[in-house]
Amino acid sequence: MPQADLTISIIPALIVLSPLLGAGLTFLADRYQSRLRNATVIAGVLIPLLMTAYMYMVFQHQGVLYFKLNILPPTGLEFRVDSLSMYMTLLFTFFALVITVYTLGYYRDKEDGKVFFYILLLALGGCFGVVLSGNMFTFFLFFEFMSLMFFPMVAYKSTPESSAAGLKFFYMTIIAGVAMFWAVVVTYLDTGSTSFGAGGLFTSVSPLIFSAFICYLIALGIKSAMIPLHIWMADAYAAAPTPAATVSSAIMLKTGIVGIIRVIHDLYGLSYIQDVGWNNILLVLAIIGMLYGSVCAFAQDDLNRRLAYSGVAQIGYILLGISLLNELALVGAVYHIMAHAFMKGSLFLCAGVIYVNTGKTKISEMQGIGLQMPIIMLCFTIAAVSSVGIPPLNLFVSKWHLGLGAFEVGMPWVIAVLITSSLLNASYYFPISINAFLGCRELKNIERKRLRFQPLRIIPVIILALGAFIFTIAPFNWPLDLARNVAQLFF
Amino acid sequence: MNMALPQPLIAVITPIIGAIIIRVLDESEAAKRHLVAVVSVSVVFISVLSMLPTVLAGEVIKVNLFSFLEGLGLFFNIDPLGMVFGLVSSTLWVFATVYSIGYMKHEHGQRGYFVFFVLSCSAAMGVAFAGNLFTLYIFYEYLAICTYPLVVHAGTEESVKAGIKYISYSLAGGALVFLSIFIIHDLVGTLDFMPGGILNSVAADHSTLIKVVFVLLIAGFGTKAAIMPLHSWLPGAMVAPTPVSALLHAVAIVKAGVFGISRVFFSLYGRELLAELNVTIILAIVISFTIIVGSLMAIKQTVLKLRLAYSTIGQLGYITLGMLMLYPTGVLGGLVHIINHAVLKITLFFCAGMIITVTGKKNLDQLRGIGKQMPLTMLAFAVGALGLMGVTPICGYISKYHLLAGGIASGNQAYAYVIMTSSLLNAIYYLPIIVNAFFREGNFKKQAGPEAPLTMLVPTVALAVMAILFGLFANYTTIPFIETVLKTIF
Amino acid sequence: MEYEIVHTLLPAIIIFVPIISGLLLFFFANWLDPYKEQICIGVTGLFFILVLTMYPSIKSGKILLGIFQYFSFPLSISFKVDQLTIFLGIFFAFAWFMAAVFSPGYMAHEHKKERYYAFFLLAEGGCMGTIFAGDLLGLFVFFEFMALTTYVLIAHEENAVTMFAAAKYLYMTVFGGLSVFVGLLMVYFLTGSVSFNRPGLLTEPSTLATVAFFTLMIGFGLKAGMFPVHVWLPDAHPAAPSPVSAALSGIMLKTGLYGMIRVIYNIYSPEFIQHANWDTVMLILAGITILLGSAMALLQDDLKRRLAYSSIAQIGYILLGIFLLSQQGLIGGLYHLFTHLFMKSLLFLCAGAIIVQTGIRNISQMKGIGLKMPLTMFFFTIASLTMVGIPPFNGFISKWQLSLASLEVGQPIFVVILIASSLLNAAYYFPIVITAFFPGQPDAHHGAEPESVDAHSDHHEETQTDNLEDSGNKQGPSHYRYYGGRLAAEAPWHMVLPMALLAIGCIIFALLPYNWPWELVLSATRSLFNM
Repeated sequence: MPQADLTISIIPALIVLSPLLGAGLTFLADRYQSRLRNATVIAGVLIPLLMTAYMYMVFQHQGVLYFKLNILPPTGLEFRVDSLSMYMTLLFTFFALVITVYTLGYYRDKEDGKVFFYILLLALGGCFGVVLSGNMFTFFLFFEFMSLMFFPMVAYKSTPESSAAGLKFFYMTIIAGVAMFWAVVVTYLDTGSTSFGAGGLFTSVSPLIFSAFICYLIALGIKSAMIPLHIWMADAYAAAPTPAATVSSAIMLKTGIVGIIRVIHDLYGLSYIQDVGWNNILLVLAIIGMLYGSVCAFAQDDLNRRLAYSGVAQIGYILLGISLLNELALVGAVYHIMAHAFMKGSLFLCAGVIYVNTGKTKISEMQGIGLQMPIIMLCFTIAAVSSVGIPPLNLFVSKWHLGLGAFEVGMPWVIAVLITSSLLNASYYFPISINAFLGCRELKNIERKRLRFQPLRIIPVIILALGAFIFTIAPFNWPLDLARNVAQLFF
Repeated sequence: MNMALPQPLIAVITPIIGAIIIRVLDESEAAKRHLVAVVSVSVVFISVLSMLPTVLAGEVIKVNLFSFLEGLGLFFNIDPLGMVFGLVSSTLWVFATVYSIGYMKHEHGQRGYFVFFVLSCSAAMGVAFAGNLFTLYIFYEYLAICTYPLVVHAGTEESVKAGIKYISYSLAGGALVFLSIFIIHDLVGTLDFMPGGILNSVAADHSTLIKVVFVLLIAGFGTKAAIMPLHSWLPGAMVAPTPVSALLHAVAIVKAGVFGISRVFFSLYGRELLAELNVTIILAIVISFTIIVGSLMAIKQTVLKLRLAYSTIGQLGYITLGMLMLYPTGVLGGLVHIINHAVLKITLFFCAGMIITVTGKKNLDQLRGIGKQMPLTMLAFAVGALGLMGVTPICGYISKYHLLAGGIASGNQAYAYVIMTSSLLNAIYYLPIIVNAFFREGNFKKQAGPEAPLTMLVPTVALAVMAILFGLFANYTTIPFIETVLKTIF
Repeated sequence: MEYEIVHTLLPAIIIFVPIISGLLLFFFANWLDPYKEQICIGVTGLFFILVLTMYPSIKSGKILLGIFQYFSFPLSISFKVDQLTIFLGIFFAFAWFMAAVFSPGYMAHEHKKERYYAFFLLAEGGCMGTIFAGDLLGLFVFFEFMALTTYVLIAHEENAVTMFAAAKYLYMTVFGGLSVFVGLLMVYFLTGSVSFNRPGLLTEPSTLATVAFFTLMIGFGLKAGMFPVHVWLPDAHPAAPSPVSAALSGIMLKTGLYGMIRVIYNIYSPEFIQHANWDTVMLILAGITILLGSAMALLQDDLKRRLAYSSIAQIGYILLGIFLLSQQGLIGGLYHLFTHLFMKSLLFLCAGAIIVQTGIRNISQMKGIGLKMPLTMFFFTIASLTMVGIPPFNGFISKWQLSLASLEVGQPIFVVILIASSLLNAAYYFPIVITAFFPGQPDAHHGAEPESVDAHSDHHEETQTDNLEDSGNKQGPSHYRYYGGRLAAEAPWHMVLPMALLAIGCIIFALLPYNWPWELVLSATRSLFNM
């Protein structure tokens, strides 16, 4: 894509800055004026959302937006808004708002939740920066920052498990950072640029360039929980407070995915990758991930762990779509980013509500819980059904495109993997829903009284569950349209 | 191209005057003493800074002091390379002096401390400004002598032993340099530092001799630069008061050694000669060894200052390694690390000092949960540590980037691997400290008031912020500065 | 034959009536609770009438087509009512209506009735949606919807046995759905369309076309109960409450068959399939299904299980008719579909009546029950006769037609299979009937001698706890027959009524000069073959 016609706009930088300022303001509010605190927190995520909406309108009229600061050698700090960034920013800012509102409800009665918000807002700022970045180095900067901010979120509860899980994550993040630094340096050296939008920077093949590719995969794979670098995820999700797990699953994992898309399409370029065939590495890993993640999920009793492994499998879908190097498959993958975010977000929020109100984390203890919290479990069920790919829920659309893409590149057997994974999905999600509502007629020790919830805890859950099907039954499937734009960007 | 300005003399003389005044003052007159000290080093800083524009514009400032024989004179010749060392040292001296005020409040022998602390500044300036090897040598030894009393300040048996080791190594190194002076003077009749070196003319005939001299010089300066196996004085010298460790052993002295090496490389031998002589390979191996083993040994340490000391040993290797690449990007990386490492390491030591002053704790396993009591300190520590690991946007990554880039581009990929490995090792020995400080439960509680004396806290935080700024704005600050140096080399 | 296409969203709207009612009943259960039964019956009845209103247009040669521009995920789906659809639609809607009328009586002492009625309506919506869909994608959407809602109905009892059966159903049905999805995707990939508009979308043979065909067959076959993917059926149908079993066996299995018909005639074409020799495979499977179902039915003691296996066998007949790929065959298959719909629904309702009145599920315990529940068993008998194929009842007509078709195509073996199966049918139905009315040797539970069947219906039309006079048996203490601990008496009128209507449906069309279903079948077949 030509680099001409770039509109200069400071909005991306502002979007990144707002949560950071929000964190600072919240810190001050906590010190001096605690009534304003909730307001500063919400402002920190609402303002980016509004700015993103505005930016979307500008983007539609004027095309790609761009902003460069000449700090941060050697490449400079670049922000760039193209279809992919626009899509991801819309998604992230929306989810940031929903999850933050939920977190306000989650930590409502707890004193020790104060610091969490600072870290959350900082992390969100980092996430926004990642998807708005215009070159790999800026990406790297915000990537590292975001990862560093996630670590305290994982270890927040200060139990031995949280610390252990947090450390595991931390060390893997360091490895990711080292790997990516190497890769970015090689990129800059070999091509003189790391900027996106050029449709491919590398022109020659050499072991060094291959090593850079592998390092990118390692770094981004760690972040996006690609097999076999996913090992931090289950422990981290089990130990972290639910909002942290939700942010990671709905938002942070996707930054790794965006990175891989950028690497393949913007840094290496489609024809380059097609020639060297390195996408097959990703393809194999994706398929293994889809199957392995599902099988492991099946074996877990802790709900958060099951959701974590399921996430590994779902990420496998997205990586599959990317690795097929096909426009339809990419549409499926990009759409799946959104679909998975809604689905997984809603599942995690449900898990959080269950934990906060009943203290339960194990699935075997959740028999009959639908009687206590029917709406929550209904939302859970909707999300669970969505994961199998039943229309008109979102994941059907993703699978449709992934399947078609697979056919187009001449790999129809991929659909068998998709089907197997869907079946496995059903096998580990349905029992949770079923046990929640059915089969407990004869059991004695089930609580049957319905619980009352604060709206802050329930409404985000409902919103996300609605998201599972609202786009597909609307007259115009907006995310699908956006996803198609993204795919057109690269093909 | 040669100008004479008063600033170099001012820079060298003022600390001497300041030291004398402090000596004259009574032990109890703390306030006056502090004032004199701060003023002296500030004057140095200002004079050095004022020379900056001139030097950057390409002019060399020359000040003649003394002339013994033909070609053996004592004079100052301030070029960009010297400016780097001079500016770094003088800037950080100001910070360290302010910090010392807070640190030494409860120590003994403060007068003696400040005398030699200020005095060493003038020696360091002399080293920076030296125009030939002889001048460099004289001020080098002067520096060693001035700093000896600081090392043994505590007066304990341990510190005495450390002092002895320190001075022996210094003098031995000095002797090697002295020997080389003779040989070189014999060979070419001059010892002046010139861009491109002075030994080109005799290279063909006396190549073996020149190689030998190279080894002597490197060994001589290498003791101060803590190249293994000549490094063992450095950990011992950690018994000194922390500002001393911070400034002198992390910044001034060891950088003097590295600076000496850089003079050998670029002002005596010159890039092309070095490439021809093929001596760099052996040195590269030794340096790589130093980097890796230094990092490994840091992991083993349980005392904070010792861990920082071994870290220094490793990080200094980066500078030399960069210079060894004989390639613009790599050399830039090495030289900019002089600045970056100085800022970062001094921050780390300052934090260590505050921990010792406020809590008395020196061992790492005593520091669990200290983040609760001293959050700002540990945050500054985190900035320093992450910077040395190379995390963007703290300045350390600039050096790391250029070293990597230089290594790859010049075809010496092995150097790049060494740097990456070292980064990883850095992470292994720095991160647990930060993690322990913030995410482990300990016996520390939030105290009322500032967590450490302000004279200590403010310089530290300022340095941490500076580290970040140097990282973000390196394109406007450090990199152009070093590039002027590069112009003289390439 | 030219058919005029009328664009209207009427089919779509009709489908949403039960779905929305179901959702309302689900979400507003607290408020609507007193009216739930009335709502259910009312809505199913209304739906039946609405379907009937579409009949005149279809009869006059129009096809109703509604393309839903919404649901653009990623294709828009359409609704289409043509001759085949109206044929199925009318009778499906009627059967659902009957099952709904039957439900209040059956469910009187059950728990969680609101859930039952809500999902009953939702399942009806899904089921009817499958046949009203105008393309494979729409069919798939409603297919899955029907599967999920039916699950809740099957699991209604919530005891261990039921939950297991329901789980088996659920996972197999999900698998079937995924199988259909794969086939659907392949069809779309190969042809760029999935709609039923044109005959034979696929014209070129390829590996992908073959795989698509078989995945579609497996997927729909699973729903229909074809061998070898029938294994969920014998557990699920007995586990569900009887009205649901009636709906499952009578109606929902047929949606699978409908899917297969559409695939064969509207996605592929009969010539294509014959060319590829796939029909041979499917005919073999049909044959095995017939024999397997019949044989296994013999071995069952649980009445509902026997009926379930019998369904499998009967589905085999229809499969046979479909896969003979001839007009005659299709006519026979479709007519048998209609017949089986009425028969099997009636049989399950009878079984339900027996369970409610006496608590007995096992055939071995049903000796002499005809004497206490004569109406019920009368209807049961009618259904059995039809099943076996005794003329002049409907079943005979379809079997005759199927045999003719088999001979015409040159596969006489199927005639043999048909006859064998009919004999087996007789072997597992007649004993039930006979022992119901002629219990044989009296034992401690039994009393009087057999009486004729046409008895004392007027006396029995009261509530179940009525004290009845059995005028033929003037006994003392064993005045009342006790079966399974409950008083045995005829079912209440609101349960007898639907059974009666279904029974009438089983016989009347064969007796009238104008066999209306037959006409419908003929027009449906014509539309499939001539389009």
